Amino acid sequence: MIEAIRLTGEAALRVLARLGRATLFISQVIAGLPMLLRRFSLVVTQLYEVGVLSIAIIVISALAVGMVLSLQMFYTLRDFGSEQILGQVVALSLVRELGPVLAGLLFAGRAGSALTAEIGLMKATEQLSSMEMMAVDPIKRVVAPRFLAGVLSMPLLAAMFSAVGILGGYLVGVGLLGVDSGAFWSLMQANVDFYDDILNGILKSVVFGIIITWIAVFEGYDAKPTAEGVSRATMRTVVHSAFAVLAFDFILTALMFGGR
Amino acid sequence: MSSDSILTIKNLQFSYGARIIADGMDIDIERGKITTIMGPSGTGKTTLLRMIGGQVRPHAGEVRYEGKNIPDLNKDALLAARKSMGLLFQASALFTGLSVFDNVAFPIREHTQLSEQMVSHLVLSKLEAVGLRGAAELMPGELSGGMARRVALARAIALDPRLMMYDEPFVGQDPITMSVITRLIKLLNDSLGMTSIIVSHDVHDAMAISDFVYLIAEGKVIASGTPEELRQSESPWARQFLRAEPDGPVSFQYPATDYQTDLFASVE
Ligand SMILES: Nc1ncnc2c1ncn2[C@@H]1O[C@H](COP(=O)(O)OP(=O)(O)OP(=O)(O)O)[C@@H](O)[C@H]1O
Ligand SMILES: [Mg+2]
Repeated sequence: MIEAIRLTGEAALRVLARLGRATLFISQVIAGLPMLLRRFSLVVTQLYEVGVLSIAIIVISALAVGMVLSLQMFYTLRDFGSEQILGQVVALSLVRELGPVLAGLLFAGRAGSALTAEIGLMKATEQLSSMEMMAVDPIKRVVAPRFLAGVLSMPLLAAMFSAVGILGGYLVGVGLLGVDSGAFWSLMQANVDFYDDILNGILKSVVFGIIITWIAVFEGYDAKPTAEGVSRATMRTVVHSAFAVLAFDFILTALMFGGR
Repeated sequence: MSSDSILTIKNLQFSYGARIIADGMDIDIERGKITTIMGPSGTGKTTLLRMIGGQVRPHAGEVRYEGKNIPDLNKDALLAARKSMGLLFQASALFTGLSVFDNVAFPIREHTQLSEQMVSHLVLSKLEAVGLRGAAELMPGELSGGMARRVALARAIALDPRLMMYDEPFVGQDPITMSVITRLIKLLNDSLGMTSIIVSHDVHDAMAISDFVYLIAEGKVIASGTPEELRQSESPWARQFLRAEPDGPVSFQYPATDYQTDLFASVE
């Protein structure tokens, strides 16, 4: 019994210590951001690695999700004779919820894991250490541009997810199932609010972007410098970001849409 | 202690848990000379270099580099001190995402405002010195282990450091490149006025170009002197190490409990 309490306490302390390290780490990363203005090419390279290379998986998944969503909604709505609002329903689900959340989960799997593995391997092969010895701060030179690129990419990818998803919904709803094209778009336009829906969705994706990229770069930097350590860190990035996205989604949704 | 030393280590104390790395170590590196630090594998030679570079903090003692005590420096002062140091890592530690050329150019681009033409000129001359100018466009993954170390060497000397530290520079080199590297270390040291510290277990090559040698084991300096003095030395430590005898005061085993005890413990 006492042993169990001791172990729980130890685990709790470990978690707290890690949180402390992660906070200290992110403050160092943020301190390194102003220097990137002078060397924006570092960020551009990472925008390509982190953002552009994630576009394929985002577009394909969004198309599939939009099409299935449209199909499911159509059959339910038709029972109530209100299939004209299909466009609005698809758009609202995507913009408020599915766009940011699914893009976040995919982003964690595609870009987050790659970031952790890359930084972790650089640590394991002493690239970070040798950079330090060359009087270059790896947090500023390696981590900060990747962090900024991740934070900038995520909202754009989420927006892309929603847009392509709506397109997928249109293809199935209007093209396949015969919903009126005019109704699809005009009801969507009339009932999707810029502030309440779109802006809140963007806000979610910004929060997710910060959290996922933070987890990814921290896990890489904090990884045990061995092959096993890097693989565990990569796994933790995906699992922790997924949980974080879902948890924050619930909190943000409650805050944004709960007060009405 | 000589009056013109670039680095003075005094009463250095450090351990990883129970593993003692330095236990009152005193080392003095004279400016302009080549000093070799030898010791059995796992005594903490690499860790010692990391303490000189300020990456590992000693538990006690001084590491005085050009008059400044490295463990006392703040972040900016430490970075400034490191700009005048070069460290060739035991594992080459090349940046895998950058070509050979860009690896060598990295410190130059980070710390100077030179034009690309000047950078290219400098990089190619450093690569020429290690015999790899032709490999400039290769990626690190396309190099052999020995080539990678030479590229790392070119990168470490890119900014002409005043203190150059080599961690096992001879490992993985064939006899020809080995003698090229030996000559290069000597040439850099003498023509550019560098000070060199070589960490090695390779007794012969290191001794051939060294002005002074420290033998360390179990956290202490166990013998020191010019190569000639050490060869003449009657100290059992020095004799065992220089003649590569398996038995003697230097233990080849990582500290462990008694072998018999272990054997019987696993039977239980
Ligand atoms: N980060 C670390 N944590 C714990 N112990 C470590 C760590 N790094 C090194 N050690 C231990 O410190 C000792 C010295 O390591 P170091 O790499 O300095 O040895 P070395 O003299 O350079 O050996 P070699 O000649 O084989 O390169 C080793 O026994 C190693 O187990
Ligand atoms: Mg070593």
